[in-house]
Amino acid sequence: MKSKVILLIEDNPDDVALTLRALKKSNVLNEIIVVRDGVEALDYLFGTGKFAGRDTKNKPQLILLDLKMPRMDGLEFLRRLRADERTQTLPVVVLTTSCEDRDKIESYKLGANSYVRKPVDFSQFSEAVQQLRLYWLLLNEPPE
Amino acid sequence: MAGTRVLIVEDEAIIAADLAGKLDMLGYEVVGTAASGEEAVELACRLCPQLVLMDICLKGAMDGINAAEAIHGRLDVPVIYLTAHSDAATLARSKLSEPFGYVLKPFEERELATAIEIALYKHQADRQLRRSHEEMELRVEKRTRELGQANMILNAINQIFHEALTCETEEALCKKSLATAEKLTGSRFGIIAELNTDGRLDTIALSDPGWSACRMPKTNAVLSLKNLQVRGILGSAVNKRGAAIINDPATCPERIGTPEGHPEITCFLGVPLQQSGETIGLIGLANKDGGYGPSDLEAVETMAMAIVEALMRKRAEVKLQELNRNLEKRVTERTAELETANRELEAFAYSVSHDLRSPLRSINGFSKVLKEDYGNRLDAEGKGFLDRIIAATWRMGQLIDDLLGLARITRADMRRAWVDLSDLVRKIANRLKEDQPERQVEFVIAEDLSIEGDEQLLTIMLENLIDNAWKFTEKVPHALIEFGTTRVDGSPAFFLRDNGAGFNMAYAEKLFNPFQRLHGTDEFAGAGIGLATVKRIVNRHGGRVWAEGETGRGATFYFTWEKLNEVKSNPSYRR
Repeated sequence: MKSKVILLIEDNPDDVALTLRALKKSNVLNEIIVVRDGVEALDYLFGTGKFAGRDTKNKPQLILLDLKMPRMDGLEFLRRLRADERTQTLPVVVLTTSCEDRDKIESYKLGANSYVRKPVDFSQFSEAVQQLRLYWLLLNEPPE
Repeated sequence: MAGTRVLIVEDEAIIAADLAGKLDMLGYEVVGTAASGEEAVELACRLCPQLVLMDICLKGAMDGINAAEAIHGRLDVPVIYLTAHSDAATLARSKLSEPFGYVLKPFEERELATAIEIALYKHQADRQLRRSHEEMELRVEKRTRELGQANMILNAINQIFHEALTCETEEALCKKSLATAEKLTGSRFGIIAELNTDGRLDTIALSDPGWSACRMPKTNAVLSLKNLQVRGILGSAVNKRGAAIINDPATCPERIGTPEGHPEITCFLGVPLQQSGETIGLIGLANKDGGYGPSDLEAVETMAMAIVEALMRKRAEVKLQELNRNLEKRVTERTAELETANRELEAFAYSVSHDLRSPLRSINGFSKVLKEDYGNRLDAEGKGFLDRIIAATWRMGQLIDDLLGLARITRADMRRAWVDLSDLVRKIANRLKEDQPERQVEFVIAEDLSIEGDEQLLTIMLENLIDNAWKFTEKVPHALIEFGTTRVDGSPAFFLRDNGAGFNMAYAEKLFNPFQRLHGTDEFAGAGIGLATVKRIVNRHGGRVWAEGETGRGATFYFTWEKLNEVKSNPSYRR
């Protein structure tokens, strides 16, 4: 069976490159879809905009979400995601540079499943991604 | 008294002549002799004698007693009765006519002389008594009048100060004061005006009777209220720098006439309003029936002082209220500004935590990628450079975190409760010992020290102090860290002492500045933010922190707390 995709929502290309590398180094073999902000992410999930016609039954196994993005930020995306029946159970891991309590609290309130602060040190980040893979891709059993 | 003019009343001509001779010999002047009561009254009135010698038994309708009464009714002159009668009825009658003497015939010259002198003296004394009595009466009457006036003035002043308390504006106050002055003096109308900076008069109050009596066209009337030239009858009080009574305005040389429609002025009383000897305005009253007198002047002068005082008080009060309002407004504005600044600071901190860390992560990440993927193409020096880049991003990451922490401490909400400091210190010490079991550090912690404060902030503060002590005793063989209370200059203070590296007292003040380091990073690690954090936390609790030390001989950090005297007074923390 072909493994499901991972949706990476991130506007910073450096972060995209480093995250992709960390995922690859952690032996994550899933296809990774990269979108730049909340609007594109919703388009992907609901098959609208530039993703019109996409088979939306094919849902991502995991969403990695940055908070600070242009157009629609991570928190607003979360709100819309959880408001829609089709996507309300998708596992979302917030991956952010923010260590503000209010971001953390707000994310959980809006239904984030996990909150990971991106450390400055890349090695630590790679470790964190390793943990994420272990838990969210191998151990966790999402509802079908 | 020699030369005293005497009238003799005697119907027996021989006796009269004999009496006249005796009197002449005694040195008195006999101005006339009357033979009947009627003649006696007529002569007395015409000759004005100083004494009357009166025979009681006279021929004709009027006897001596009747004649004496008639003379008394017309003249103030003493009467001595000369008579052979000594019956009780006559004596009783004669007494009623208040005679000054009673000489029984026959008599000696000496007896007569004595009776005359006594009568004169008595009459003189009587007259004096009467005069002083009258004078006294007059003075009592005058004083009563004066007191009545003073009382009225006092009531008027009371009224003015009462108005000062109740009136909202100075105009209202002056209007009421003016009405009081008008009532006190019986004036028909009046004005209170103040000299403005141009030396012209601005009306503060104009009495209603005056205003309603005014038939001036309304615009003129309103215009004439402000910025009046100081002249005419109105200006006289200000120009002369003294009070003015003008009871005949028609002939007054200063008269300039009234504007059209202004009620005619029949009399005027103007009193300057003075403050510290300077004329600042005037109160003018007009048209008292019969004109103004000195008592009016006195009353209004006294009232003028009260009006100035009340006016100044009212102004000070209004100013104070305005200042208070301004202050409140400024507090509100400042609060809003601070809230904005706080929000901006938060936004800044947020953006720092996001945006500064982001490129740092790229630098770090790609350096590592470079090392991993292209490491084999770099020599040892090249790899060393990459390590330095990576280490630098690490330090900067730490710095950003510390900065954010410091900002957070400054703006964090405080939740005050009693906190057991001894317990906190013990927990922190235990954590350090567990983290670095290889180190041998002795802790001496005083028991049961509690203060009121925010537990989270207190924990951060003590962690910073104890971490420092722990760090700087690293190179000491027998490390000792003590926590307790002491007295500094008589006031209680907490202290945390170590026997570590210490510091140069010359830098004692700098210690608490952010990013201030007294030791090289190679010697002791750290960003230099810890003591700045400590200081902010202590300050936020209204306390003070300072340090004492000597290079190589340890350091002691002291801190005081607001309400530190209550430190041990909370029984719940006593064991």
